[in-house]
Amino acid sequence: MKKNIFTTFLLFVLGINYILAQDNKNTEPANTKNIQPTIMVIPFVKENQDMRTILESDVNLRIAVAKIKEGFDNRGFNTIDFRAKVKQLNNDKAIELENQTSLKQQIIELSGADIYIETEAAINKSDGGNSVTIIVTAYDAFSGFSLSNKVKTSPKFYTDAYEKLTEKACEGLVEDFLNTLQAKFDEIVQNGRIATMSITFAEGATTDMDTELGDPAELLSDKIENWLEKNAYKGYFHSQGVTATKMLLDEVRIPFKDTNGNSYRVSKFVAEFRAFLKGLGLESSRDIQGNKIFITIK
Amino acid sequence: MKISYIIITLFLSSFLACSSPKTLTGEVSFAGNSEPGTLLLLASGYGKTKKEAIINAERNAIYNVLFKGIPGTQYTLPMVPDGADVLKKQKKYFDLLLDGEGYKRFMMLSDQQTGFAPMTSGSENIQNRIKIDITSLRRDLEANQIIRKFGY
Repeated sequence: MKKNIFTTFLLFVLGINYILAQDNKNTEPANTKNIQPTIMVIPFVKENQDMRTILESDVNLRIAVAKIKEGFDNRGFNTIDFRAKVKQLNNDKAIELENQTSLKQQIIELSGADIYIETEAAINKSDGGNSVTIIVTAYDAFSGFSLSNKVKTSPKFYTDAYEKLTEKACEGLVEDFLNTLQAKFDEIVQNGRIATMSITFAEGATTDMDTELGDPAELLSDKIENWLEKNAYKGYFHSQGVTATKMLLDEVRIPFKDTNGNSYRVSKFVAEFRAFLKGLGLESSRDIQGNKIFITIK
Repeated sequence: MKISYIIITLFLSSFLACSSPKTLTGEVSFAGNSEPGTLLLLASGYGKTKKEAIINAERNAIYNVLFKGIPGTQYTLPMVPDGADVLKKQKKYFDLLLDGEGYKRFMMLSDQQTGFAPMTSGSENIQNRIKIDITSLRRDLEANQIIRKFGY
């Protein structure tokens, strides 16, 4: 009898422990749907330098670029290949090679990259040994905002094997760089992406910012600001200035995702704004370049 | 009567075995370079027994990597942003990872560096050199939707 009680109790205790252990395995899923930006790693060049020539002639720079790309690969993220893009552009004869400053801009624009990462490798020679310094900076391709910056110098060695030193410097930098970039992404998801807005009037337009419209009658500029208060992400926008013919907004926060977790496009925000203008009896045209919005009221 | 004692002892011991020391400290520092994707740390732990102190040191190391970041390394930022919030929302995952010793799956090395020395009344101190497989830990956090994959 006592043996039976003992066995039953033992089974009971083991059963409870098993249930608790199983319960721990169930984690509450979080809403973690990702929208992937397109990223391109490019070499840093000084003014009037040819990016492609610099990259092809500098093995350390190529190693640095490859190492940064490898860091993205390790996170399961594919990057746009800069060299392939340049070759494609050259083949298409779409760019004029003599204008190197615009070449960089054209490559970035035509690649469709949301973010570009400038990479620089500098050799330091000294009596105490040689080292390589790597500088990487991530920029938002449309707004030009800097997203992540890191500098790392390899330890000093009495060697001319700069490739190894470059690798060493990159190894100590990539994770930190990607973590900072991810923290910035998290901040953008949290607070919305930044767009700029320029609202102007077409020639011959019968209204301007000082025209009173709607019911109750308010200045058009006030109407627009009230609309932005309600529709900018978390009501955040910053007006750079308003005149009778122009309104410049250097920061309008736009949600990154809609309520279903899908990508919220800048064009959608613009369509809603134009519908608001139409509600006031105003026709408009729009031009969108990345996160830059240009509205012309007719 | 004897059987009753055995039952009570068994019952209590089965639950005590699941528990682990909860003292959290910031006594975790970078211990030197290791292979890419890994992190070598020196962590202190407290406990009434040596085993308890080691578990505490290991738990401390993982906790600091996850929620605080380690200065002087590539992991200065915490792996889990908004730690307090996520700890509440994903309680079951972290109970298993931290209290259920699930972190051992990502621990490549746990070497005792100092003797088991008395530090304060009721608890004693130990220092361990711990190597963490950061890449696997990150993948596990991503797979369990604790952190988002790289991107927006």
